[in-house]
Amino acid sequence: MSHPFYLAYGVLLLGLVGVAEYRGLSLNSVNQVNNVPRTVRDNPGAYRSHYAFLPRYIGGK
Amino acid sequence: MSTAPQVRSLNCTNCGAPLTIRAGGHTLTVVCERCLTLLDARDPALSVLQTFQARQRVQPLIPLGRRGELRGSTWEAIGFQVREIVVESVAYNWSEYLLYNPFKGFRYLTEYDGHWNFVATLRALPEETTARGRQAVRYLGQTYACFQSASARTIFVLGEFPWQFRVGEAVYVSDYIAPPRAVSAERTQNEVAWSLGEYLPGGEVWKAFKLPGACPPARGIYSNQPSPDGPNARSVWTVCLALVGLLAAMMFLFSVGARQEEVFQSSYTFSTAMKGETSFVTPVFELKGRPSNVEVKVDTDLENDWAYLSFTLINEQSGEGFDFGREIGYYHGVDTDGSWSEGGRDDRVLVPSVPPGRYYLRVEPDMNDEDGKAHSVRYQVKVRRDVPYNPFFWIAGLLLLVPPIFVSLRAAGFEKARWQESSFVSDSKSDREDE
Repeated sequence: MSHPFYLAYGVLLLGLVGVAEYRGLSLNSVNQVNNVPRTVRDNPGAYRSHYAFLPRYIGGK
Repeated sequence: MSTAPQVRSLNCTNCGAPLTIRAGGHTLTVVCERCLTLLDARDPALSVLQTFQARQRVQPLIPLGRRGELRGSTWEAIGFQVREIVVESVAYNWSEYLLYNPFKGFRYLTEYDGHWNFVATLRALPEETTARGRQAVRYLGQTYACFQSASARTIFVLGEFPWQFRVGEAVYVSDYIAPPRAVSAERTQNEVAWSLGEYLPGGEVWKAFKLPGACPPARGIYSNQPSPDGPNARSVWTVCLALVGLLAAMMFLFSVGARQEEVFQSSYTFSTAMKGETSFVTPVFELKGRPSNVEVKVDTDLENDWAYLSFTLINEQSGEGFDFGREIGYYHGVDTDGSWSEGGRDDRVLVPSVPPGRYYLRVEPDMNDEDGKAHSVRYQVKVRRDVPYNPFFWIAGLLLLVPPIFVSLRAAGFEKARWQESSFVSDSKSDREDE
């Protein structure tokens, strides 16, 4: 077998991609939070997203 | 059947030292090791052909008379000569060992700076051609590119030879290469002698002739030295192609197999004029199947404005959630440079690896409220389960290319260094320097 290390490297890469795809992973960054209050359903203001406090960019030329 | 040649013992006509002739009737010239006299072996009286004064005596690395097993045959070293070419006033010497097997005939071992070649004379005539604009020859279907041409002189000899010559005689040598082989032409006024050499690692010669110690290390890159990465560079691309093919097949299968199930879609309006709490939650929707991604896509009708949407995808049962936000802004207009636009009206977020369950979105829109004017936006939120996501495939594709590119660059570097030694490169370099 030629290039066993490269072949192993390639198979490993393909395996990792397969697992990542199967598990639905992505490079996007989201903030996972636990214990969001159940009252949010009735009172959405009871919870504030982490992103709600980020400074806003005002675009335009 | 014995491979031992018949040995004839004689005495030097010049100094009386004992001589040994190992190749019997094939030997035409024999050199006295003590007084360096070339004698005519055809003449029963061993008449003197030439007496030469060597600048220095050269000790052959393979002692004459030593036998070794090379390429499946036993060869005896019977002759040794040192030849010299002068390029730009610099003399380069190499050694040639004449090998003899009574059933196979003669072969040569050449050595330069620790690089060895096993050489046989050609029986068929190579065909002259060109390759990549360079002089070349074609022999047995293989093209050999011309590497160098120079006038070579014999400056030292020992042992016996099946031809007559004089020390100092010059031939015009042209080397054509297709590593690990090389075809050489030695031209005199009367004839052209062609030979085919194959590169040999020094260790193989040492082992074959059972020479003591270690072989001198090879220095630099020799004309027909096989590139350590040459065969690798070709085959590694074949493996790479197979792996990229597999990767493409995986990409296709995952794309085709992705459910892309739309689990929620709704349209909303937001205005800064709205009073009270602006956040709201969507109806519950179900995410089925294995843990996989969830796409939240937002389309707006923004015109020269921005909106920020904070989202939380919340599992109704566990209370676990995924927080994310997207700023969407779209601006356009016309100025002295012409029309322009910036941003876009839509955006999407891919939430990774969301376990199955019943979920809802908490949405909190926000817009510019600092200029005292009312801003509003109509937007649609779409949620899809298990959508194709290709960045991992592109990244893996690039990572798969890294080793073959590395090997190819190394092989190209080796070839570049090889051809730096070619007389054609030297010619063009000196031309440039002259300019």
